[in-house]
Amino acid sequence: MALMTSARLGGVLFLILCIAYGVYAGDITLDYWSEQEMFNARSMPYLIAIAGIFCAILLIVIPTPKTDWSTALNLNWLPAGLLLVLMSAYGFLLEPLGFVIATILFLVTAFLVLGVQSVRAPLLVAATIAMGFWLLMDKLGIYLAPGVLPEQLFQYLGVAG
Amino acid sequence: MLDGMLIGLQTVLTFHNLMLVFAGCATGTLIGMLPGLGPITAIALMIPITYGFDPSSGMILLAGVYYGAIFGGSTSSILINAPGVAGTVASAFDGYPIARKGQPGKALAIAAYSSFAGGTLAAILLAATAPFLADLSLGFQSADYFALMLLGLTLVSAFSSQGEYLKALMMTCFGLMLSTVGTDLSAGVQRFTFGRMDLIDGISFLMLAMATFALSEAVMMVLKPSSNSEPAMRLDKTSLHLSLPEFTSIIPSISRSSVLGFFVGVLPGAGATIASFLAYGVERNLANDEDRKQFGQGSLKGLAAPEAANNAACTGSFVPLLTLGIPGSGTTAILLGALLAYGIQPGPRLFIDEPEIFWSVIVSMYFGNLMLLVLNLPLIPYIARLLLVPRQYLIPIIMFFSLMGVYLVSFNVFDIQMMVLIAICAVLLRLLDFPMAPLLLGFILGGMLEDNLRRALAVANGQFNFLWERPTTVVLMSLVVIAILIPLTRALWPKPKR
Repeated sequence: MALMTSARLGGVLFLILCIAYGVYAGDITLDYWSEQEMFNARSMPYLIAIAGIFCAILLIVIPTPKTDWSTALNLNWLPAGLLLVLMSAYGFLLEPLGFVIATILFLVTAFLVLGVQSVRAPLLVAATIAMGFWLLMDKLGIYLAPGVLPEQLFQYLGVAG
Repeated sequence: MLDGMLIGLQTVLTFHNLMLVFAGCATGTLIGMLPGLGPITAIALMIPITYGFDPSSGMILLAGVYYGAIFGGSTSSILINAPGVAGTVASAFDGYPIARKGQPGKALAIAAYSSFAGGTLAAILLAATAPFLADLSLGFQSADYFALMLLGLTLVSAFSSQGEYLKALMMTCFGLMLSTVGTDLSAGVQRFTFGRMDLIDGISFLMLAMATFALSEAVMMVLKPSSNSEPAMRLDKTSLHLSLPEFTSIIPSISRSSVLGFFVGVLPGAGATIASFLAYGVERNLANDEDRKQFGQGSLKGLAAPEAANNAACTGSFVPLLTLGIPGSGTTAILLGALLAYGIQPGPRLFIDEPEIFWSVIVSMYFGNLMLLVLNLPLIPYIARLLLVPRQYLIPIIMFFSLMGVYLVSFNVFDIQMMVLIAICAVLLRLLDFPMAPLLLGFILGGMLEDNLRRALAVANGQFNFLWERPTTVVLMSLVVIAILIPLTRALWPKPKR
């Protein structure tokens, strides 16, 4: 592990990426005429892959300062990971739940994940941001869909549609 | 020229048009401050409003929006490390560290002064040199552009600290790789789309910038709470004040960067992004050893240079637009669309046929810069209070605005998932000490580099002799070789420590 510095680890990862990229560049479909050209859709990817492999090998072989890996264990991985999952979930829920509900849910949960104790203040802040942003976009003529589920609910209640 | 300036002054110095300059700057600043909404969006949103105006007034308003949005973008870049547009990425390198040191007011004041100086100097240069520059930019050929792009890429050493040059080069390659995703427009074939329709148009710059800077910064603030953001929460109320030595130290950087930015902006396709990166690189290389260590840690010169350069380049980009009808950037392409919608055909005859439009835009640029200074300086202490928002609230809000900034462009939730994926990669790379700026630079220049290389090769019948056939190309390529060899030599054979 002592030999595996952050630069070397990055170099190895990039070497794999560049080789995969170069191999995949060979799969780019070309018509007959393009294949005859000196510079076609595969040329630039090949050049980039070669330059990348060269840099990655240099990064692996040249001496680099040792990395203290113990610091990585002291990072706040759990809340950071949860926030990334939350953002992804927000993307999935945006269309079914609609902008306002999904945004309020995302913001309130994120505030709580980061250690806000009460629920009332986060709810107030989230609702203000979601509604304020929605109104601003409405004024600018940008339409944010209310969402599939709220639309169905409104239709069921006879409010819209 | 004096006659032209008088025509421009007569047009601009009416209450109606001065109010339009004010409205444009204010609206542009507000829109530009929202991460994700840059000058293109701001101008696109304002074009329908200008249809009721005469063409001069319409262009005056849009020019104000352009400047305002660039300045607003710098504000979000400096305060929350979320550059909404490519032109303000370089401003975050030192602007954000200054803000984190508890001096956001000072950082914003430097941005305001530098933008004003850059924009004003460039407006003067534009008025004096527009006809001559139009001829010069016409003389630039694909080979020269290719060499210029290559120079921009090799200057990545400017963003890397001692011994990190190879990491920066590696990230540039990664950025170039990402730029090849999507449809290759020359051949019409798909590359690296993995059969997904969502990737046919490629990866959007905005998404990449938001994921690698705003989102990854927000996640890093959670991962390393002790080392991030806390100092920025202390707002030094006197920080708006710049001492005389500080002020005099940045004047040469501002002057150099303004001139550099203007001339880079004149070249179609180059624009504010390359100008700001180049200015940052030049200033870093010109700095003495002591000053150079400050770059990336909160150097005043490191903030003043890209700010002056990007505003000067915005002005410079009007040269090909007004004199040749060639848009030098995405923003000027939208402005070209607006001019055409007014029934105006930009080109060499615009000087003769519509002098009031040409000169009123130039004069309005000066007034726009003055207006921005007057408008923004008093507001800086209030804008900077954004950093007083508790971290637990600020981080999710940054994430929300970043995600929305990208979603509102495409209305495609795939972009949100893609953004999260890129943010995860960016966080891991940042933990391994890989710099993010070269990635963006590679991504921005990748497409243009490929286009110009293809064109240059086509002109040279597939031979690489275009690299040494023209003096301009030779000079630029020599600079490329120097820019590669010097830091590479330092990386391979470091000086022994005494």
